Amino acid sequence: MIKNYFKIAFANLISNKVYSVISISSLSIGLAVCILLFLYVSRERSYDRYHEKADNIYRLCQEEHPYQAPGAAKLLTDNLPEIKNYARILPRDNILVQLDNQRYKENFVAWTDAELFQIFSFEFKDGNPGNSLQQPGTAVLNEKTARKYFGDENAIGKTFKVGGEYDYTVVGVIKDIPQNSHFTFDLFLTLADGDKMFSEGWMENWGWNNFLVYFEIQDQFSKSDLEVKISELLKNFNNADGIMEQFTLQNLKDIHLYSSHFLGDIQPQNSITYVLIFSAIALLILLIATFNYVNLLTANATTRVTEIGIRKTFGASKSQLAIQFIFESMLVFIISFCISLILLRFSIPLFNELSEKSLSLAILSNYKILSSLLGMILLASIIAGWYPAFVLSSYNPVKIMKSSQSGIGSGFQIKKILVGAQFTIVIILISSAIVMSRQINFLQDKELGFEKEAVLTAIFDFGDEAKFNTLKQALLEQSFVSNVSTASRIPSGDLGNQGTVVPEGQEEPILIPYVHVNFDYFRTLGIKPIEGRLFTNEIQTDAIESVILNKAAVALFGLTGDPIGQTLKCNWPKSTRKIVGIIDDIHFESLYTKTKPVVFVIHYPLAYHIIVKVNTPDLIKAKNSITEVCQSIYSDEIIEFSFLDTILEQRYQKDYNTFQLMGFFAALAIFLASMGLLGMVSFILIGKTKEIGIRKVNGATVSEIMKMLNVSFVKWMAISFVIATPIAYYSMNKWLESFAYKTALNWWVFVLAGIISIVIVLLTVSGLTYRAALRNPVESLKYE
Amino acid sequence: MIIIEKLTKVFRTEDVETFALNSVDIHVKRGEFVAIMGPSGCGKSTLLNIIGLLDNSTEGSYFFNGTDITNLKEKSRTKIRKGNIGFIFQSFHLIDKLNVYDNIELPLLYLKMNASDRRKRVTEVLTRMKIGHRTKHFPQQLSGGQQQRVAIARSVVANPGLILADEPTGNLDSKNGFKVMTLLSELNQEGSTILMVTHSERDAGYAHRTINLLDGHVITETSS
Repeated sequence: MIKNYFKIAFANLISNKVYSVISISSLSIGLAVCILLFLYVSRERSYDRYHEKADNIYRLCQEEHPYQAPGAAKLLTDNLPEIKNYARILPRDNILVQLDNQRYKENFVAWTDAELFQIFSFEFKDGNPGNSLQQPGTAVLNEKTARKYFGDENAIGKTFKVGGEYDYTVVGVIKDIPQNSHFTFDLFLTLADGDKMFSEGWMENWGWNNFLVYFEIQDQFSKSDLEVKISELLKNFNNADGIMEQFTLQNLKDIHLYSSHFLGDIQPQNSITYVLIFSAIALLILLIATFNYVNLLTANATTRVTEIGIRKTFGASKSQLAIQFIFESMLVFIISFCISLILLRFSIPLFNELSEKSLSLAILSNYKILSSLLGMILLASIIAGWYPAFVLSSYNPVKIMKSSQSGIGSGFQIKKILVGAQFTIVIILISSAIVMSRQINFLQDKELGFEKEAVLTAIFDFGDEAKFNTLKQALLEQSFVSNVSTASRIPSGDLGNQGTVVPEGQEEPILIPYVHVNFDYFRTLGIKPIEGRLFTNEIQTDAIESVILNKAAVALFGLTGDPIGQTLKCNWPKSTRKIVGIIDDIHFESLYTKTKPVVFVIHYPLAYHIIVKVNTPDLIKAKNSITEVCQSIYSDEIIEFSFLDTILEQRYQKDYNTFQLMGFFAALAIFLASMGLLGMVSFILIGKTKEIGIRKVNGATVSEIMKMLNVSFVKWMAISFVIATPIAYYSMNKWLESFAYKTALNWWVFVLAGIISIVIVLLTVSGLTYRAALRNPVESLKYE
Repeated sequence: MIIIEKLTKVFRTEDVETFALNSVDIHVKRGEFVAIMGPSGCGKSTLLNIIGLLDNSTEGSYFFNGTDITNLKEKSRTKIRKGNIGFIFQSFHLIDKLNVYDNIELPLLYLKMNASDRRKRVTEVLTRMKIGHRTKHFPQQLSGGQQQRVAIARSVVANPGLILADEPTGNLDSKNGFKVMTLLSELNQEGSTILMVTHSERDAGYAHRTINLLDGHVITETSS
């Protein structure tokens, strides 16, 4: 019996080439996209789940960031019995590591507690978690770094120097942290001697909110109660100035996908929004492909009614026929699945490049994932086969054998509904794509408030101020260098460092981001004052008694009258300063967040970025010469300059890639839907051959016939449009909400999407109808 | 074998009632060869469909092999039809996509017969119909006469007691028509009961008796 089904299924696929090519290719593409996005989604959901204690590990967070003071973790663990253990991480980049004759700049360095290796399940290659980082001056490397430093030799017991002065001994080597982790450090250095490392007293500094804190919490506990207790406990410690913040606990498994509200994180994380959007697109594309298949199968079924009649006459029961059609549907799905695997083989590397992921089909060797995927596909094939099977198997054999096989009216209605549903999806996708691309352009073109072109920046240890000034002079002697400065933060970075300010005449301290700069900072970035003046070398006292605010800070402080000349009590460094200038609210952080109030003070020790503005078209040469000059003065440092505009671009790169992918998938969906439409129309035309012939005999012109067929489709398109527009409007509105700066959601976007899809339909229908309508009426009548 | 009494079939559309069959009585004994004749639209095919359990009657009773099947559901009708009734159509109704062998095998598949028995049966009937050399051919590669022989082979492969033929020679030339009728006679002599709808007096001549229908009534029955 199965053999018979196989034969008939293959014979049908081969004899109906248009139908087979359209169904199988659209199903293959649909399945490939679906599997790809399935891999992507399961990858994103797999983050950090490999840790044995994942369910019990929580990160301590505040409202806008996950960074804590060094003392918070111990205080909470000592006072709250729910917390079993804690580990802190102080993440650092641009760390100079020296071996006997090698120097490296490391960007993934963590100062951490020994407990880290008890809480998290990192796999040790050498050494063991119970005996790592307890002692001062100990380090754990990952395999990659150990090999980089020591080659194939055993790294245990080897030493290296950090920051030019501190010796560390390797006590453990772990396997490289898997990519699906919210942090992937190369070096772990002990916090046991943090005081020595970060200068006396810093480990007790409650304003030093730079640590990530992870707790191991007991099995049963009330998260909300514990959060309240934590907030209460930290109220008096967190800020000497007594500002209370709301603390929350975030489960380890949620960190990767539910941290997008934070202004900064240990490493860039994804957002659940994009995972949901991609899942929705995957589902929609699979739906479109399945609809194509169902439509074409039912349409094609009209050519199979004789077979059904014969089978019934010779004893096939309804359920046997239904099984036959479901079997055929499964066969088509399995063929498509195999083709989709081939498609994936080639598209995964491309996708990885765009999404900066490392997806691989190897994940399918996990039987759980493979079986759930196969289960999904089989389920889809049964659902797809169900409708045609149900409709076809219930035909009365007498009627089938008698009639000239065109009486499949109810099926036709369903087919139109499915085509309508497809175009609803297409209109949603087109309008979403338009809105998204408008938003991207909007972000790209947005005036940032500073000059990003021809600005170079680097991080290295400048030593004392005199030494830096030597460098500054040397750089300014270069003809193409127009300005040199330093700062704790450059635009494109996060405004993470907060301090307090008490404005003149007020008593309450106000928490506000600080940017520690040097003379010429604003000039180097091309920022002009809107009131007052900028810091200047000519007034050296600016370094200790002047402050510059942005407009938002003036508003935050509630300053009345002319702000210039008013004084502020600052705590970082502790000083009383006069406002000398106001600048506009420049887009310091990404455009995803609103501009924030900022105070700018000159404070050399914290200004660890160097910024150089050049005025030459040959930027590469300028970069090389600047590096050379710096290197000649700082021969021990590893100096790498980057361009500010490149840094900014990189910041948005991930999102551009995401948008690009979405655009691509939207285009694919449109393509699949059009293919389905093409198949549908061609089947409808076969059914209408006689009608067209009769109409032509009775005087209808080609254009009248084309109009007749187009009108019925346009009617369905109009319904699709009415359904699609509110859905698209709602979801795009929701999406735009995540941006602080957004393009307007214009009505014409939806009209345009409607017009585009109507044009697609008209072109498809007209193209096919034209051929049918041109035929000699005698031919089409004879055909019957 | 077939006892039909007061059988009526009414086709209803919204406001028109058409009596395709009106109180028809027909008895057919095992081993008979009966021809049904009458002009187009007299209800011949409707009668054959009801006898073949492809359709239900509106009124009256129908006993097939002693079983009352007057108002059976499609599912039960299929069960009785399988293996008991073979069909031959004017337009052959072979499945284009299956070759000769597979077409003939079809009724056996639905009887859930095992593969070796199926092969034996199909081979037997192929030889009998003298189409053994055509097993791998597809219907469209055969002449009309050959196609009808395949269809007859299919109708008898399951050894049904009853063969229903709806104008079996209607689409054939006289030479091929003669061959088909000879084949049917032989089958009848070997014990098959045959009911044949036909327009042709000559074909009806092969039958033991002829039932003439007009406007849904049996008007005459003649024996030859």
